[in-house]
Amino acid sequence: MTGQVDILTNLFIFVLASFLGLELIRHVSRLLHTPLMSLTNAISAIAIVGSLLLTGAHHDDLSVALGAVAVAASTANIVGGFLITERILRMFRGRGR
Amino acid sequence: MIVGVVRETFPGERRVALTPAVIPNLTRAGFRVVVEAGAGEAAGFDDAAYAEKGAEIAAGRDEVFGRADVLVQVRGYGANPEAGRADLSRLRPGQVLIGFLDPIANPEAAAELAAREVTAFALELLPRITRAQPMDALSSQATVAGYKAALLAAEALPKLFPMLITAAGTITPAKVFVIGAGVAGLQAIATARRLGAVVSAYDVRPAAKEEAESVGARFIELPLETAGVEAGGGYARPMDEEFYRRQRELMGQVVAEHDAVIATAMVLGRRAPVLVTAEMVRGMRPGSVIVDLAAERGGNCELTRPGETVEVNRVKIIGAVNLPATVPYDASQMYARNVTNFLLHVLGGSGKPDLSDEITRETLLVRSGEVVSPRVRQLLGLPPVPAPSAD
Amino acid sequence: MTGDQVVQVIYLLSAVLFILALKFMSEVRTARWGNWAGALGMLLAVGGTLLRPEITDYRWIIVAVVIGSAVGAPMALLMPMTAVPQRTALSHAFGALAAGLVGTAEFYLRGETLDAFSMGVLCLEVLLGYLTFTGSLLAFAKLQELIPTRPIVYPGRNYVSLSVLAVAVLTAAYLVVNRGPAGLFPVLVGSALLFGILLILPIGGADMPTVIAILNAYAGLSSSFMGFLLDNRLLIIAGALDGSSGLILSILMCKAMNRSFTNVLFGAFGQVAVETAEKGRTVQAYTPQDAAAILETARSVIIVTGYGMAAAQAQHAVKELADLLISRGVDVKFAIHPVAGRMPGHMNVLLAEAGVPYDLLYEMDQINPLFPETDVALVVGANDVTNPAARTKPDSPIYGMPILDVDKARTVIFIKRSLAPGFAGIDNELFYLPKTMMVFGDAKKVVTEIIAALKG
Repeated sequence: MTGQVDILTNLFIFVLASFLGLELIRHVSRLLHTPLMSLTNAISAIAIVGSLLLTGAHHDDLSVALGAVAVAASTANIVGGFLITERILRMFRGRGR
Repeated sequence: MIVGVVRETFPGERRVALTPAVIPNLTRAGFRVVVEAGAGEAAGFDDAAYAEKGAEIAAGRDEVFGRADVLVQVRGYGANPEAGRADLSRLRPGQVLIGFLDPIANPEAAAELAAREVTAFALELLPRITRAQPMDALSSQATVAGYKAALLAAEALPKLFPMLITAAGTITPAKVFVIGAGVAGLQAIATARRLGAVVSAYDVRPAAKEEAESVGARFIELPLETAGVEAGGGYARPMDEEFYRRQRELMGQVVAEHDAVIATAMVLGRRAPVLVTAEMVRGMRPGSVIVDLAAERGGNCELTRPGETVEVNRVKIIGAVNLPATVPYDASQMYARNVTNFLLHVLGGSGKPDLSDEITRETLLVRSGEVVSPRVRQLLGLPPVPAPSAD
Repeated sequence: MTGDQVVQVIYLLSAVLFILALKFMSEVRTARWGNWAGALGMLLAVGGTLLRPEITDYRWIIVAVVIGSAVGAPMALLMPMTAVPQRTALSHAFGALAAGLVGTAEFYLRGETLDAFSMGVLCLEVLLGYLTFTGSLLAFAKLQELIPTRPIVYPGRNYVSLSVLAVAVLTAAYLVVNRGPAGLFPVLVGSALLFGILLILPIGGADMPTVIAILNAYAGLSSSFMGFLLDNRLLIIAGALDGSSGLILSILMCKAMNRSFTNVLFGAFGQVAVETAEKGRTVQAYTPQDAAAILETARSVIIVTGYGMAAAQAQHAVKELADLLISRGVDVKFAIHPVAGRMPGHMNVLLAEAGVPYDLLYEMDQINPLFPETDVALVVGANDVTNPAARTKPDSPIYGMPILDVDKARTVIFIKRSLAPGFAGIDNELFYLPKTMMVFGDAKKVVTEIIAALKG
């Protein structure tokens, strides 16, 4: 029973978060499309949480190997994503400044 | 190559074809400039100013005609039919002549020029395309005419133009009606507005409505069938008599309501349409003013006498003629720029006109003893010339 | 508070920061904080995770992080700014790969012990993760022009794609019901990888940015499903935020480029819009509020007026805008082209009426050298006099006409009623430059809205 309640709660959270995302982005100015795309790309690297747990828990060699590669990939995503966004935003100022 | 400028001989003309400011543009391009002594005096440019910019001053007219390869005038023969005749014999074969030559109204003059075997360019024939705008002398001079027409109206009107609310009462603004929203009309509207009048405008071309409104006039719509009236370049096509009769009927009411009427309606090369009849004038309030810019072409008002001010029913009808000549300093500055731009375009570079260029080709009136412009040939009853070969 | 609760609180803060990141990024004024909030959120997420007792061995983690940074940093820092979409696609590929790998590892680790729901989300995670991986790689390759940018279509592609997808879905369904055999898993992975390629192949290079936004949504969903699998609420939230914002963003981007969303999305399955060089040219259309945002940060502005301002009688609004900018310390100049308007001196009349002093008016030869130094060129209803074709296209009717060098300014804001041609009847090359922002509307209305946005 608790398992199902957890799933339901998680579903609630999923749905709420989805609507939230929708509302936040609905009227974004065209100027911000590119940095927003880059930012959400960086945020999607949240998968690193799973990768870290996998690698660190050290269940077996396969999982560690896959996990480590996943961590590296996610890190590349994070580092790359936030830095790219920063560069885009800095170019913004360059436009007007 | 030598460019020559002489004093204008048309009665009342005070402009000069080149001003000191444009001399360096010509000398830089390798031309030498010879100016008849006193040519620019009436416009406000003395010989010393020309000399300072690198022009040579010639003692007499003959010297200029004798030395110049290119002659630039404001009113060349054609636009200066009587006094200009004296210059005809001074023209040498092969000389280039650039100026207003009034070819459509005076095609015979073109034939006479052809007989002198000169190469003549008539600025009235310049194509009205974007590229040619810096050379468009008709527009620049019309601008001056429109401005001056508004001033004449203001001067002649016994009323003030602007509205004034004062301790001595409120003065209502003058109501000015501008007929024709071409270059002159638009500038007249703008000037009248600057002076504070309430301005209405009318033009038979539908496209003119937005343009007139863009300088702040209220556009008067007359319910008339105006399809096909646009002739390009701010000119209207001539319509039939029935059209004009109906137009007069509707306009009579409008005219009667206004204090000043500035008429600028012209049709290329033909007599100007009569838009204000004697009867319409009788319907105007005493003290009203009509400034008829079309006077030179017969006038938009029936009662206009070119060059004179007529008073009928205490309504003043000013037959404005050659208004740009009354603002000769700046009118000459603009004309000089137009003509210099044109000269450099046509003769700059190789020194020979390139007939494959639209601007050069269309403006060319006379060459190698022939009248070359198709339109003028038609007016003279001559058969069309086969396409000229580049040589 | 127990260790686990600490981690949960950290996760909560991280989620809040991600939400704030999106919120900040949705407005120009706060955009910069968005990135910081996101980065901080990610930092907390990582930190919190590392604190968890499940993690016993840090060695591989450290190695992996170092390698990942070494790949990610140059990817971001060494690219030219024109390559943003492809770098984002590449970054995407990495992230999606991670999600797929985690799902894979989880499968082999505890596939048999999972219940149906968990297996379901695992399969979805894996499916989305791997298809996004290859899809993003392909998008990168197309944008980088490593493979042809035109849509690659072949007869029967719908059937091929759909059957591959069917294989993937059926495999997943089977695995959900039976939780095995493990040998079936590579089939799922393989078909997902293949489907990603097939999905992106028929879409043209110009639509790629939209597609990347959709792939973003997929990657987000994948992370969300990972969250269901691992019972991690942060993953669910962050993934859902990404999923929905990615979807909305791609719809917005489609609208902004005047493309039908379904057209782009199902380009893989239906009609492919073939773009020619002429038809495919798009302009960037912005709102007056966007223009105000740019003007806000400008130090120098040159206002170029034309017939459009006259027709709209917008000279007073333009003067008001100029005054507002001047009062904020911006250097404002008016550039008047000799043939602007429909009569000589047209602009002068209007600007004089509005009370613009003569010393703010510059003629063409005076002002042209100043354009390269200017932050913003604001064009109000002028057209032909700004068209670079006069310099570059010998067969253009305006070739040779001297123009105002508006295209040399850093940013161009172009206010115009519509894309209709001006007096010369030709298309203006300036509209299609990336630095040009078109704001469509009546000049008076638009300028008034810009003023309101600047003041508000």
